[in-house]
Amino acid sequence: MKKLTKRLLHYILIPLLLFFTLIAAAQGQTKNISGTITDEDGEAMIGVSVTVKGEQKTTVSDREGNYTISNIQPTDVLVFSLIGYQTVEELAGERSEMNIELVSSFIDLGETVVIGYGSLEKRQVTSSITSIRGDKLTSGLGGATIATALRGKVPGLMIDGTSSPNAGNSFQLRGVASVNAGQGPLVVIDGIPGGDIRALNQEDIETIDVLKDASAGAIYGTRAAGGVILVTTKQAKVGDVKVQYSGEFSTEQIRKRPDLLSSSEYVMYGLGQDYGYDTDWYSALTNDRPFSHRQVINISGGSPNALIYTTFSTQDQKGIVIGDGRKDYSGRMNSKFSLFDNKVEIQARAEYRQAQRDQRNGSGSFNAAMMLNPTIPIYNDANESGYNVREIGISGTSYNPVADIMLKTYDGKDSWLLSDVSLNINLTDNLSAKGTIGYQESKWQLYRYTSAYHKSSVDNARRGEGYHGFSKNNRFSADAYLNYKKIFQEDHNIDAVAGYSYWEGNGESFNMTNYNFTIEGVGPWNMEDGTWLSDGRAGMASQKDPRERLLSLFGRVNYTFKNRYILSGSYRREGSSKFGPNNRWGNFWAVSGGWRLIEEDFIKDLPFISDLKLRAGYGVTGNNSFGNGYATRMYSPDSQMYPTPTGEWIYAYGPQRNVNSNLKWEEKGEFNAGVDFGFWNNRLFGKFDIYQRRVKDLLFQTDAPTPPMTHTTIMRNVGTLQNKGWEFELGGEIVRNKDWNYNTIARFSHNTSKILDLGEDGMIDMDAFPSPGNPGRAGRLLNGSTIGQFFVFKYAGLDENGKWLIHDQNGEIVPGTSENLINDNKHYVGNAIPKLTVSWDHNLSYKQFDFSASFRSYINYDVFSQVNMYYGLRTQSQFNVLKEAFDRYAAVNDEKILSDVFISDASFVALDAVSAGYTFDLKKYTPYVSKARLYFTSRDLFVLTAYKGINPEVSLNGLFPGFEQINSTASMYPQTRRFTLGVQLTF
Amino acid sequence: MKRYSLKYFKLSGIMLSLLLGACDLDEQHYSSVTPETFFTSKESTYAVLARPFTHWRWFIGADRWYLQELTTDAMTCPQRAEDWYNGGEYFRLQYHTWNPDDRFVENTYNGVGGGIARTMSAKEDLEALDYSTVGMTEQDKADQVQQLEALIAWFYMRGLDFFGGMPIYESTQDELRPRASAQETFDHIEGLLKNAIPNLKKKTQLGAFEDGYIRQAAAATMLAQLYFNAEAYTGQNRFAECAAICQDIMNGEYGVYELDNTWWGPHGFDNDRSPEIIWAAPSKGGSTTDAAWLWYWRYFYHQESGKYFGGVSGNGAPYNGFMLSPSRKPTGQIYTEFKLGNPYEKFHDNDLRKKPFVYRGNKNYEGMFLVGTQTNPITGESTKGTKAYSGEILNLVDIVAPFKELNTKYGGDISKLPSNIQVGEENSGIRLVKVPQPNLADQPLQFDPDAPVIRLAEIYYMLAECKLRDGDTGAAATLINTVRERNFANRVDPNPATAANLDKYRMLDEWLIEFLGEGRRRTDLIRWEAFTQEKWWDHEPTDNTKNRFPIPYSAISANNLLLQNPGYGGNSK
Repeated sequence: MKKLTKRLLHYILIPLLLFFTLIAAAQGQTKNISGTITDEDGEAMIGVSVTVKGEQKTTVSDREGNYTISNIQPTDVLVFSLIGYQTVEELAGERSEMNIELVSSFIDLGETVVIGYGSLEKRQVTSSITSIRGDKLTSGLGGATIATALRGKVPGLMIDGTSSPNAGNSFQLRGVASVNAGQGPLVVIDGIPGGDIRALNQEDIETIDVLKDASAGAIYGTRAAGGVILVTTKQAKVGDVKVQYSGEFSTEQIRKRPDLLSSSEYVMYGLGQDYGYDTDWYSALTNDRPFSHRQVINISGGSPNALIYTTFSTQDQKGIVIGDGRKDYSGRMNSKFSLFDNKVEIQARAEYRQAQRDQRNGSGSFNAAMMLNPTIPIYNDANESGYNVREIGISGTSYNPVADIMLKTYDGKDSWLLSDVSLNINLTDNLSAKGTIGYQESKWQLYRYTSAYHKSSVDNARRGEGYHGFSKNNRFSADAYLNYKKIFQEDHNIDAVAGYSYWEGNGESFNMTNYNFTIEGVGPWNMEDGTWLSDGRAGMASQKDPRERLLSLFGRVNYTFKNRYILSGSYRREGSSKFGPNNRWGNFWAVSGGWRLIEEDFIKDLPFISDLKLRAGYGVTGNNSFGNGYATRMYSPDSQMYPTPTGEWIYAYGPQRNVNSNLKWEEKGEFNAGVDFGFWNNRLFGKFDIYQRRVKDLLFQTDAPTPPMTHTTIMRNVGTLQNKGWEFELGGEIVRNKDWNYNTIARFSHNTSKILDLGEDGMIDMDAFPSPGNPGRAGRLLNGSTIGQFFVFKYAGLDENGKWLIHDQNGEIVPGTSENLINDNKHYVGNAIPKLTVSWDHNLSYKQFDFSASFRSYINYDVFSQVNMYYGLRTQSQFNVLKEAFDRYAAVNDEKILSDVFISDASFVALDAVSAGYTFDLKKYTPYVSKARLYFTSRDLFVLTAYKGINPEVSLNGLFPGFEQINSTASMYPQTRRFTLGVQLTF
Repeated sequence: MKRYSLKYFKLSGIMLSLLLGACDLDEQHYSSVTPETFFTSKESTYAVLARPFTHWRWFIGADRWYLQELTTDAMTCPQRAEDWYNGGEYFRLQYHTWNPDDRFVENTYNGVGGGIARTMSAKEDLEALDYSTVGMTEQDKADQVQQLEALIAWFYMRGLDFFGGMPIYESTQDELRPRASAQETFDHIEGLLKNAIPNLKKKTQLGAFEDGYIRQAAAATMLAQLYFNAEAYTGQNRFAECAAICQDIMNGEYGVYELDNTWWGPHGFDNDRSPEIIWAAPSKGGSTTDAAWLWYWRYFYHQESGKYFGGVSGNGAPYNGFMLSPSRKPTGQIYTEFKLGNPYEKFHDNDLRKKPFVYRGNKNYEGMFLVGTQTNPITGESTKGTKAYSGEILNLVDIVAPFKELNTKYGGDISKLPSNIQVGEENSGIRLVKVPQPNLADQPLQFDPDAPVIRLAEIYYMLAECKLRDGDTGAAATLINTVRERNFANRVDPNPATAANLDKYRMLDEWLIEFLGEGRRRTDLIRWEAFTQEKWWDHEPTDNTKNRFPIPYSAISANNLLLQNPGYGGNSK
């Protein structure tokens, strides 16, 4: 402890002392400056922030657009900024009045960018950051989550998800970042790391800043290996109380459905017994035009000293699939108070959200619907439930997916509490101190009841199944840091931050299951009534995760010389409880630099160039997102009991897992270089970035020698992974005049990921393909493997009996029989990572009309269709098949094998969103409503592709991308077109 | 300036106190416990002692069983339409074409290694404990520690049997080792057992409850098994030493045991009190997680077999997979092309076991097979097909052939029907019911029977085989007949073993029918040099290297000192 204290003193006091010396700055003659801020039309602008460049001093304009700022020296530069407008900078000089006109902007060149523990002006940024303004996201797309609206907006960011309101989304930035530990970006909501993006309303988002490279992310240390997504929620603006209402009403339809045999075709081909009915199982599982809606009310306002922003929202989302829906309620309050002439600022924010989920369907539902004999009926009057549960043609492991859903109840409640409070003190004009405390809690409650008539109840001879589950996670974080800003001798601009951060996470869960209830009516609300409890067959489980802690010290300095040369460095030292005592602390650092060529005389004179900056950086970040308890030897109970010598059954205890006390941080080093440019007064703008990153000491479960070890795997730091790629963004304001406005932005990205080293003989196999048939694994990573390759048998035609022929390891054609279907004969084929991803957005407005469209395209990549493999070949199993079984695969007369015939090019072009709106100016008609905007948005209108499976947009994240999996809801959930009618009223 | 510095000192003071207040980075656990704080009572020593035994109970089933049975003339798992092809992995067992990354091989190797390591780990923790602190004696300690020593030997013996020489470790803290030779491994096992036997407890009361722990007779049998197979393991003939131990066990020197009077006694619902059981894996009825033979239910029976059994459900619907190797051709003729195999027809027609299994209630049952029309004679409930035989009452036949394609593909000519592992159907094959299934009324009894691992009949048969090999065929026949009698009404055996008919094949047949499905067939065939040299249904002789399984790639990647067995490519000895 003493040593630690000494170390801490070392790390805290040195930067502090550094600050003291820097503070010795001259104090000259000062005065007050005031003025009025107006927009292009000459209207007064409220809430414009006025700051002194390089200092902490700040104020905002009042409702008349007036501001006053005191203690200004002639050399100070005043910065006027408001989101949505081009920032203006003016030298104070000898003036005491300064009236400013702000011009609205599309590209936000002058805005500030949130970078973690502070913000920077965009032009001072030396790393790869993409910023998105909440109000620039297309409205009407969000549905239950804002992830959909983010699709395609950040080059290099892949977002997975389905059209289900209960879909989860996985994010992956610049390729897979880790083998075994977590791979997604760290989400930081209002400065609190580890937030859940699903908890947020699109309407509440001010900005989303994505820190893509390590030179920006290193300030977040251990958790930034997959990039950082910083979300800032809205704050009220000074002025009258503003009320806004948004209402959205949506419906959807299936865009593409699998082409299965009809009942008459099924009978004609003699695939199985004819039960005499005609059932379209797939359609039976879906709702016809489900209706969803969401309502958001937003009230905000306040004086410069007290600002309050509140949001209340409710939504009811119905999925296209029966038994899939979600109802949400949420409230948010953001407040900000300024005291002592803006010297002290207090911000407090809290959001609570609850999502009530109905999630009775599952991946198995679609599997069952695809395979079930179409001559089997859905209903059966002879059954008490009214459904054909297991009478007509249904037995064994098959089941009626409609009855399965309808004879269950599912009441899941997700709730999130996000809260934080921060205190900012401007100690001097140059130095401020900030402390933040954040608390987040997420809870999951699930109450489930399976009817006594449900097949699982009948099969197991029990009357019903009741289940209660509860789990909870909470995270506490505390940060304290100092921020110093100063301009020396006009040319030297310093912006520095240093502080301390503490984080703790805890989690627990409990669940119970009981069976065989006397009555059906009360669902799971009479758990003690089930007889299996007294029979000793009821289930109960509880668990509390090991406490996890992170401690860190961090600092960052940004130095700008003559607005021309920018240097930035950051350092974070972080300790985690997940590692053994010797390896707890890791050092994460970054350096980056920028050169604003636009400030150089030889460029300044070129009139068509309005901005040009070169930047490069290198940073090291870590990754600790893997389970706790890998470094300590623990006993845990076996899942099974054993009798003691006296015949009493007890749980057996033994070592939980192989421990590795030498575990240490996984480290990612990333180099990024880029150029930002703007031409013709920033009418054409963009940026280009190239990067290469290497993740070393990969945390990975490797094979363990048994004996001496008790378990067959052990977590180790093994090997290296590499991502390489580039990103390019190009935008233009093509037309900008009083009536017409057209701008467009295109984003391109390319990434390849490679396993450089997995240790000697290191190997990772993908999960086995599912039953029926258990055909094996179609992915294997070795040293030197490129991520995205499939490891399968190479199709070499069919023999005269329709049996598979494959190329063996020597390239010779051999029969695809069991002795040849071994891993040695598999080949690496295909590529599941697009060579190029493109997104292209258009925004057009004419007077009161606005129109936008977003296209997205993945070019040159392959997908393995399990759907074709499992449902595309004839069998003697009574299962239904795709029409292709008698078309494309008609010649095949063999059991399915892991063959590259099921791989096809999945390149596509999709129209993600198209939206049209009209804004009514109601000020002249009514004193109560000032504006009304009516809009119509359509999501996923079409996808053009030559892909042979159903849906080319499968998960491309993770180590084994590119599989259209039959057992994953992600690829089996129907693709839909969604139509939304929305209205926004501003009061 | 001065004013400011004071402020900063205060501020940094606050920060420091914050820091020091929360700088404890030690992981705090709630749901698990460190070994140092675990031992507080007698029960806690049992809990640690039991862990290697739950591993052992798991070990005797599934993958290890597949390697012992599905590779032989006793059992098979044919493809049934789209089911059970599984990339050909069961075909490779049938044809002896397995490779080092077949999951059965890998899981078996890991099961052996994990068994050794877990047992050593438990032994080290118990050895380090002062038993007086939990109210136990030094004798208790010696018994517990020596049971684990014997269990280590048992796992090593399974490793020797499956893979040949194993790397020998004395402790979980040892550095990585290369594989020892088969002889060294043999010697290590012999040493462990000889050390353990005298410290173990003896069974003193005939028919007393068998709790799943190792007594003297169990360890002595392990040593006998080691000598019994010594020739196959190391090339050295040790049958005489095996015979001596068997004789001692039969004489009661290691505790009191007796053959059961009925064929079902060692397998029935109360088999934990059968006088024949020397060591059995305890199984808890009713519950679905603590059962020894749980996987049997899923892998052997038809999806709807619950109906035939009288309404019970197991742990979910079964998969309709494993079966006895077929005895008959599609035409119905019994195979005569090979001497091994034909397991169902090797049972004499008068054998009480050769009947459809029927549960009579109150723990009574008859028959050992699901065979023929699947209609329960008591309830009238039937198992109906769900796939090609959809809606038909299932009739399980001792044949593997594509009868449903007889007219469409084979012109109605039964003699043209193929019979091989690819052409199974829903109704193919007779299913073993060694673990009796109760009806719905007695559902809590389901999976209650323990899984016998060593029973006295094995001692009789081992001794008989030793005597047969020693030329004392008459004495051998008598020993076998002593066990056989109980399988016939009034103990009248219509086809007893005799000095004249007892030879290698009769001996192998006796092992086959008495121990059918008990996970030992491969070892018996190897001892008679029949595993790779003989033919049986859809199986041609292979080569001697197939007597050992390959070391899986994952084991070599974890410890590259391990060399591959000959015949499997790679870096072998």
